[in-house]
Amino acid sequence: MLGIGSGMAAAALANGGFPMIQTAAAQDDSGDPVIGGKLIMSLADRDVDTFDPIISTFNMSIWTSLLIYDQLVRVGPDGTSIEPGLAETWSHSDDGLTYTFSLRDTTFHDGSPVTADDVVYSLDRALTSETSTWRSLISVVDTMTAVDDKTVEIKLSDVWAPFEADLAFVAFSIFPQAALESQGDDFFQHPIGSGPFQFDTWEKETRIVLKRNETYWEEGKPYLDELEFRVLTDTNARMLQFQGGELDIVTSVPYSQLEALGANPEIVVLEEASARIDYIGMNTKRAPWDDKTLRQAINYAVDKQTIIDRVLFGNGEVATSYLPLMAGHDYDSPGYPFDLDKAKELVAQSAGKDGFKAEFIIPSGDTFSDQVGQLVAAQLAEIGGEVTLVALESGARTQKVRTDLDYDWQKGYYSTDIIDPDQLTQFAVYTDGGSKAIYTQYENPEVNEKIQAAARELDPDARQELYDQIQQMHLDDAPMIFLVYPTGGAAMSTKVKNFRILPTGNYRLWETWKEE
Amino acid sequence: MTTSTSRVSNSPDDPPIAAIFLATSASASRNQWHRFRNTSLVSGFILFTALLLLIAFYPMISPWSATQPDFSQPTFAPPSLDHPLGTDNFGRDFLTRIATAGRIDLMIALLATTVTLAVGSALGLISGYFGGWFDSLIMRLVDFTLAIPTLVLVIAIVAVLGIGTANIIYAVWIVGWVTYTRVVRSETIVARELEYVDAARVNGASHTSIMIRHILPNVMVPAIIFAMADVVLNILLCSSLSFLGLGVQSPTPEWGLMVAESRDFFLKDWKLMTYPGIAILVFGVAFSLIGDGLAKALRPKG
Amino acid sequence: MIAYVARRLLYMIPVLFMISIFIFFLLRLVPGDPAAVILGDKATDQAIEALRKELSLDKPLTTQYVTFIKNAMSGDLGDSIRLNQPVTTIMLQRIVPTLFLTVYATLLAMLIAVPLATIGALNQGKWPDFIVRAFTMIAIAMPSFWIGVMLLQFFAVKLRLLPVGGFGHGFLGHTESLLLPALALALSISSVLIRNLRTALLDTLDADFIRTARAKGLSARNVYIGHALRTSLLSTITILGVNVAYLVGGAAVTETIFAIPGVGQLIVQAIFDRDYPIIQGATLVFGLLVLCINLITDLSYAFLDPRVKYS
Repeated sequence: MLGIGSGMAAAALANGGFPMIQTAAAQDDSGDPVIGGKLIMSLADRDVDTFDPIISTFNMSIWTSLLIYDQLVRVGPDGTSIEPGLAETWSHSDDGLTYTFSLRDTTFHDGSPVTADDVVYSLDRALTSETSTWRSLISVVDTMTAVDDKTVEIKLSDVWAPFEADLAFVAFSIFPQAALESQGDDFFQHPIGSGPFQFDTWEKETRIVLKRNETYWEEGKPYLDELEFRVLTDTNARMLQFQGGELDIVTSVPYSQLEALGANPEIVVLEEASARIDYIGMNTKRAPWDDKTLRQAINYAVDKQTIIDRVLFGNGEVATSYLPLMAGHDYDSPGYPFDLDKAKELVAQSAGKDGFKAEFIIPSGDTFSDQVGQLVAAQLAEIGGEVTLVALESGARTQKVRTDLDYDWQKGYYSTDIIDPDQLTQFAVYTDGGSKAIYTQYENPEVNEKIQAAARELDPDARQELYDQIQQMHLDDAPMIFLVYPTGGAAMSTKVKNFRILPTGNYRLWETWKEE
Repeated sequence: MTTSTSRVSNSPDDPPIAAIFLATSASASRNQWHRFRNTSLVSGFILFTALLLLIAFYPMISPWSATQPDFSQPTFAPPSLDHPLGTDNFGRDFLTRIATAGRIDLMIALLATTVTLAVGSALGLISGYFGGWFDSLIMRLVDFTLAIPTLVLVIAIVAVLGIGTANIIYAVWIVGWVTYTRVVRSETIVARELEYVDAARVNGASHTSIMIRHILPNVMVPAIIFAMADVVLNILLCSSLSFLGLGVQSPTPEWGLMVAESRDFFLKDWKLMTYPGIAILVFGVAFSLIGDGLAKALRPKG
Repeated sequence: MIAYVARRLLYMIPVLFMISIFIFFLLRLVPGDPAAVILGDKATDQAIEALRKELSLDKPLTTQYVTFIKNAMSGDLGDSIRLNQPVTTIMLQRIVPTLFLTVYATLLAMLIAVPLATIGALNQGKWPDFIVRAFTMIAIAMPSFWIGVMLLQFFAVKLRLLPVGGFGHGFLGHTESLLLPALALALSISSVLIRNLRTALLDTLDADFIRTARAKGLSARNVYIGHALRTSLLSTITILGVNVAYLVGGAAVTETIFAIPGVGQLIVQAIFDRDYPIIQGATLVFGLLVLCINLITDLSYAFLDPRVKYS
């Protein structure tokens, strides 16, 4: 872990106060980096929706934007620590309320220097703009000042443990104030940042091309000349292009195909763990899902290992908490092991004792959710459950689940972009976190209290203790069915070196090179 | 009296496609196809019956479930005595799934087609016979429906009504009547000028009786022939919808859905994608043969 | 003739209006709020409200419709909610691959259909005819999503003969990349073409004027090529005319599988995204296109067959 700031406390804070997590073993990246070359990679979910990171919530947009923009700090290569970004060094006061960042000497892609004014402007925009989705993330920020050209001082109204981890998030990217102000929204059709790669082309729905930033502040990097991201949402189209040699890296590989790909000596299958959880959210304000005993029974009745074996083909782990495998995760959490007898026992004491019916909403066209749904439905039949799958396309789904809260169960997943557990906890568990606890409408006042306390607890052990408690209580209340933590799902040609997908899902392509 | 190929059209609504159908229909009787007249019909019928028997009875006699995952069986198994077409990713007997899917697909296609055939033909008959404002209205409606890309319309309708088997059928009803109306109308326009119609009118027959007893039997022929192709097209439409995730719901098997679900497994076991596609194909061929056979058999002489 | 054309053009206007109203209101019946869909699951309620205001989605429906029509008449179809570009620009861009694909597929279909139909007609009742008819039956029942993947897997991946999907660059690149999808589409078009062409050929081979031409001493081959083919093209054009409308709308699935950035895929995606401006704009453009194609088909019919007249 890179030394940052001063002292152990600072180091602990820099990491959000959590011990490092082991990430997967690296593939063979021996050999010297080759300068030059073009890398072609797939964008599997959809095209980037916008390069304005204060609006976008989609992974493709976030991960691509991270290559164009810099932030004050960023997530390190191990995926668990914070390292310098635009800020070369930083420090904070003992009470944790004042942060001072010293910017390094570097320029934006248009040649203008990165100044403290740009930082203040960008962060202010993220915090105050009406269309900003991420406003509330660091709402504790009170004032921001450009002390001089290269120094930024930020004062918080309250202690905020996840502050540094939050600042690494893409919504707090730094833009050139002059350019953004003069071009307005048009700026994002050809964005300018200070990141390792420069925007070149955007053929909507087809591809995005980025070129090396020749004046990037990391000496000698990036190695690659050019990056091309191809929008390939159709699984077969994507896999066929990869097999046909037209893609260097392919993402979202169907789990059933990973083994066959791995057997090919010219292909490397990436098995990194990602900080993602798949779950089934239950509408806890609707009978009979308002009965905790029934929810627990259902959790015991679902055989997650079978799902991992049969749908993920072994690529995953049983989910034991709402937090995926990341900082803050309670590794001692028992979860709900598959126990049919216990499930039957609990069902008999619950609102579902005479059987229960559920309409389970899954995203249409999503094979994974479809298969999970079929298995879960079959398993729950054992305890008297009658589960009907309802595939809805996104518009209809948004309407029913999000707008109307008119649903029984819905299949969902989330991953984290921030290495600190606060954001995810507020999003998924906190009642007023903007998503009504991922639409489960979960409401436990004690848990809510602890969530707010944990964000303000600077002592790493005390903080972990709080998150452990939150996870235990949430587990016990079981507003969702805890399914799996999927792993892997990407593959690449052996020519690609030093490519890794971080647990946060993004990739540090400026450290990657391609063999001849 | 005007023959089919030398019409002078007064109305802007007579699409020449009608002339094509007339030309095809009139010519058929003048060609010497009798040698093959029965072969198509017979072979088509045999094929169709074989398929029908398969999808009607196999699910009943098969010990396997078409929907329940069964991990006591090997998954992705190759064909064997137990499983004539092997198993899928959930250990389900593939032949049972295909046969069960056949029921769904056939039911959807037949329900959709018979209604559009009946309604479309009725509209075409009335429209062609009476003309006037009703005719104009119907033709505007036809233009309108044809102008909107079918897939768009169907997807939009399904989006409003919701996903599900019944709604697919409704969606097809809303868009599928058009061709029948056009065809029947064009034939009716010609038929109403024929001598025997005049004779019937002179004898005091009502419009209704003329339409039903004299005109209908003749004009229905191309409609019925098209219906055979339409059944196939509807199965394809339903499959495409399921493929896009808008059709039949899991775990109910449907051929298009099975192809869509199997895309992910293409590298692992290509048969899962191939057999449902072949099933659609075979059904299509059966109906085409029947359509061909009917075309020859039902053609009125002269 | 002029009067006929004028009348047809006039009839287009109410139809186009009907289409615009229908699509406009149908879209708003469909559940799902564009702003919420665009912003995704993690969006806050305020962000969604702000976007709705920006997109004028909070105004009454009739106001929205009137604005849309007024703008449409001056050529402005609005901006795509998702892509942030004018709908007209997007359509112009995306229609190129689809048109290329459609024309390509049609040409391939004709290349397949004409010789096969000829063989069938000339050998009517014998084995070659039987094979031709078998081909048409199989080709028309083949699901495009299925044959597309099969072709890709075999030619592009296994044999590495062709690029795997996409549109390619430059004319030659387009031709290469679109060969397989065009082939997939051409199969089903050709089967319809073959049947009709064959029947029409058989028909005209018997017709009076052919006999007359023969009597005049022209060789059989000349008779065939000169007269029969020309007249037979009638049916081809009509079927094509009808099919183009179907093709352009129905190429969506093919475009998805082959990753072609065309208009079919654009519309399907727009429906999922509730991108109203694109759906409205595209439907209007399509409607206009189809109506014009119908008119042209009818007119060319009159041009090719002297026996048909309009007044």
